[in-house]
Amino acid sequence: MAMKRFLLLLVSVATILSAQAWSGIGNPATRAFAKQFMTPEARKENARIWKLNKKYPAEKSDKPTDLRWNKVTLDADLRSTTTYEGDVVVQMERAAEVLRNRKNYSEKEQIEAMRTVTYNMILLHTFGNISIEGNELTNGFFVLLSSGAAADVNASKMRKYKWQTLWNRAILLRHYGFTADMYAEELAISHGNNKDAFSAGTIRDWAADMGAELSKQLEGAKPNMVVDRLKMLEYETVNDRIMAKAGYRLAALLNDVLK
Amino acid sequence: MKLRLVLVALCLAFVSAEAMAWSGLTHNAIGHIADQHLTPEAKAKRNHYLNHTLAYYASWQDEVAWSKEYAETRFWHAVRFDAKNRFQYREGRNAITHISRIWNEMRNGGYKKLDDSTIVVNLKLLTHMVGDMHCPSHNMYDADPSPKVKRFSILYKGKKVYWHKFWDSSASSYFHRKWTCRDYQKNLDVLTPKQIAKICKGTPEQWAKQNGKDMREPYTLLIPHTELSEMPAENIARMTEIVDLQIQRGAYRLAHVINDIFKE
Repeated sequence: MAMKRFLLLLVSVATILSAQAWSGIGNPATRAFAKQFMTPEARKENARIWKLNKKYPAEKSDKPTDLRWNKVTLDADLRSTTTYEGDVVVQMERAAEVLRNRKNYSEKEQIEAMRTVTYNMILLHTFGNISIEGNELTNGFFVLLSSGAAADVNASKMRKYKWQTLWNRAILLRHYGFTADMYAEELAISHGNNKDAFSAGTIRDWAADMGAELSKQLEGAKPNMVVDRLKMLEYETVNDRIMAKAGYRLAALLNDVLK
Repeated sequence: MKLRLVLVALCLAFVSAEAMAWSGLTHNAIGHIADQHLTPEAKAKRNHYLNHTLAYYASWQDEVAWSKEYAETRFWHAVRFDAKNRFQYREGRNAITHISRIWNEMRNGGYKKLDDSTIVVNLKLLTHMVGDMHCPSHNMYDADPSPKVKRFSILYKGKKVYWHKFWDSSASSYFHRKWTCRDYQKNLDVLTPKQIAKICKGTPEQWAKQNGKDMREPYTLLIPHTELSEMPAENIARMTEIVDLQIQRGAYRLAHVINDIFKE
């Protein structure tokens, strides 16, 4: 009985972890990057709303309390057309409206809206959370992670890894000892000139763009394909680009709704 | 029974997800400290060619060593010494030869004669090799008849770990628990310009000779087949000093090489 309870606890922890957008550094790094592009006005309002949260007066606990479903659903043409209230995009649109008209809402509602906008922007940019109609691979599949080059390592010695988890966690954990602001600096160096190109559009445009990014990575992908170290380096470049997109877009959205 | 298996699998999944390697962390820390000591010119060139910091690419050579394209670089990570601390050339299979080669090729405006992709690869190689040549386990004494400098294993958390593996996988988390690259920079990047200049003086061959002499000591501090936590505290304290000094040497020398290459 005790073991069953422990198992239940572990499964609960696992569920919480899997609902995280990126690994430990991904979320704070994206926020740190976004802050560089926020207007002083938006930065001030952003700080004020976070401070309303007495329990967590900073962005430490950014996950919305009513997060029920962490998926971005796109149709076969990569358009976000859903009105399902649990969808990441729909939740973001509603939260953005709360922040835009924040004087009409309670402190608690403002905090929740801020958490939703911030957290869901990251969910929107995480491959593991995007589901494309008709594309079975977006429901999840396993790959074989090679410790060397694909041709040099015996398949039986490769580690089985969920492709989505590779993006949510493994890629970001490669830079051991990096802090969020260090990673934000990397994004600024590598994508410092892409602000306008990356932040243009609406939340649904960004969802469509992420669908295109995901589709490109899934071209030629199949279950049990080998991901070697060189492939991981390629993935890392893509991951940095989508983190930069998330950061620029978060800043653009907050600059707009916190005017 | 099934329940137990699931439980074990879940626990393993958590442990493996959080596993960290010494090698990566220390390389990143060395790169990060070096990044802080680049001149404005060198920093601009770094951003232009690498599109990232040195810290970002500090472990790149380890990542590509397994590819056919970079297969020959597998032998450019370490330095071997004879009994008189002279580094062994071994037909170019050592880090020093390639640090010197790339540095000489790129300095005094030499980099301008190279294509961009060669410059990028050279910078990534230098970033890793200058760090690697200062790692205790990358200073090897295979040709030395002394039994004191032969590779051996110790016990780390009850598991047998060989000399090389110890330095590559567990050491930094033991000497400086939970330090980030910023922590390394805050705590170790404390030398005066005069002290830094003294460290950077000389050539890679001279740095290697110094390492060849100094890196014998760690072999005497770790006691074979003994649990790390049970080793004498003074040995661990001395080992920490050595690790810190090697990180400082690697970082300041790396910045020195990059600054020299892009000196106008």
